[in-house]
Amino acid sequence: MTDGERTFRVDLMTRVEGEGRFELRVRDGVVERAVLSIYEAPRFFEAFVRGRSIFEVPDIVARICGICPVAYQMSAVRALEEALGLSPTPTLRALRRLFYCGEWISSHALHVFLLHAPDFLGFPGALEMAAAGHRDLVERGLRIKKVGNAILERIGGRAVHPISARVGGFTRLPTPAELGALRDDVARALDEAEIATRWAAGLDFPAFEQDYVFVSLVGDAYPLEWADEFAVSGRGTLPIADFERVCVEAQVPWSNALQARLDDGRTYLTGPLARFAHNAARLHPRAAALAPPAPVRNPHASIVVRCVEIVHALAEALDLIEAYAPEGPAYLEAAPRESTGLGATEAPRGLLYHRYAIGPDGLVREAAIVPPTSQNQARIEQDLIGMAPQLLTMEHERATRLCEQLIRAYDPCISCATHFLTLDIERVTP
Amino acid sequence: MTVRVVVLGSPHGGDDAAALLAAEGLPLDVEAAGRPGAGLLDLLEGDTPTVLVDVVRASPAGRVIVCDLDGLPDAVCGSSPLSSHGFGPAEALRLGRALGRTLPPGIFVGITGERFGVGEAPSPAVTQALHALRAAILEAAAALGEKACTRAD
Repeated sequence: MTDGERTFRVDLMTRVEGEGRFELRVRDGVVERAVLSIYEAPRFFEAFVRGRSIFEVPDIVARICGICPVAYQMSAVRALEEALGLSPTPTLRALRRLFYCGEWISSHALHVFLLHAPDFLGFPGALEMAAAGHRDLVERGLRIKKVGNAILERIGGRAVHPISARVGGFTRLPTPAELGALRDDVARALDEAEIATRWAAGLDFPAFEQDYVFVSLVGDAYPLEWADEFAVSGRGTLPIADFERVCVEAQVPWSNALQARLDDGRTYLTGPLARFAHNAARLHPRAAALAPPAPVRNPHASIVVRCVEIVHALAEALDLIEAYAPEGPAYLEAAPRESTGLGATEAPRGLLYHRYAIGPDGLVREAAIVPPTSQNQARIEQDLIGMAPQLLTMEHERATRLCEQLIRAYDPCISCATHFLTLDIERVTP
Repeated sequence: MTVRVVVLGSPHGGDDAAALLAAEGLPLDVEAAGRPGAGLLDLLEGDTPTVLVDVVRASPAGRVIVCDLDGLPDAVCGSSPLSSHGFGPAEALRLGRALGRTLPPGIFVGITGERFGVGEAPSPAVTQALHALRAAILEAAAALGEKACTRAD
């Protein structure tokens, strides 16, 4: 390190899913390098599904992530059903939404209570936080998460990599009694989530307001498992068919994950803050009653929005369980045809886009999967650059910790981001 | 009293499949739980005697490790967790301890592994040790009350 040069680096980030590092190098007050480096090995899922039956795809792509397998399954079936010309029945739509609520509850509870909360309370992790007098907070998180898992297990057979989702619907429909047995636990968790949201709103957040371009799905309801359009701040609403034209993935030499930017080169943000910015008016009334004014532009405050989304998902889950009266078959069928289908859903971490080209033999010819973390990666790097002036005034260890906290606020899922097909690294010699 | 066998790991992650492979076809009440993270605490609620089976990232591969469930957080402290968000079984049990939760009577049966790439086959050392792992699971179950938990059929 030379005079005037400071480097903030963490080589193995903790409390994120997967393996990554970040480095911010500042010389004489000018940022020279800001990278979120994802070195977890690429996993080639888009290649895995080529030549496989479309009916295998939901189970294969679920393996991309142990935290949000339902999101991968639901984006896949949405795209494949579009390719087949299938429209799920109201019962299937409702059950998929409930399924998705379960995943949001479980994933958000994990992040809020076990991963993110220690940053605000000054602990290295949930274990130390629990041991130092915050046992009730951790237990509350685990109880809420358990209810999310119970929904996933009841519909999907198991919480991690569920097995009931299939192209056309589900392998079986739960009975009203089976879902009804969850009702009281969901109601109790909803009360607890409301308490947690008030707690999160009272936390102190580092000042870091950003002028984000928010990208999220939009529709008649708060977006989870279904939408035909997405919104981009300043550009209005666009059909999903325009997604790959507007949000463009590119390789960068320092990361095993693709990065996405808008077609005009700007970075953007997807995830809870983006959903909330575009859809706050569509929140369930119980969630809306606790929501801060929209939009929220401080990534550290995303913990509040995640809590609001937990309340939303639990309130919707309660409504869906109480209204559940299955009609029609567990799944719809259609003959394969040569076609292309695309679909997007809102994974806990943001917009998750899938596109599949299939042949008349029902085999996948080509697949494209754009996960949220690869979309947010460039924006995270931009945030690190934006924080540089603030960091330079701090003691080194504290500044490094703040960088890590900022990245963690995005709840990055590095395992999801390293799924992609080709690894073309261009080595640039300085 | 029945004995439950909780098996952790992924079938698609090289040596991470070892516990699943070893438990295949065992005449016991086996639950494959993937990588449950902190959810392991939910799986260990109650007082049903439990054999917990998992892979420990350590060299040399293929070594079978047995310890009391209570001792697991200390026994494998410092090894690399394989579960999501750094919450391997040891971390989950340490969290449980911090929360004041009690564990069921149980035994941890592990095997060391060192190959965890997606889509990889288990390493030869782990493959060769599967029979030893299987024997250790049966022995642990027997110690916890094998006769009562063996399926009637």
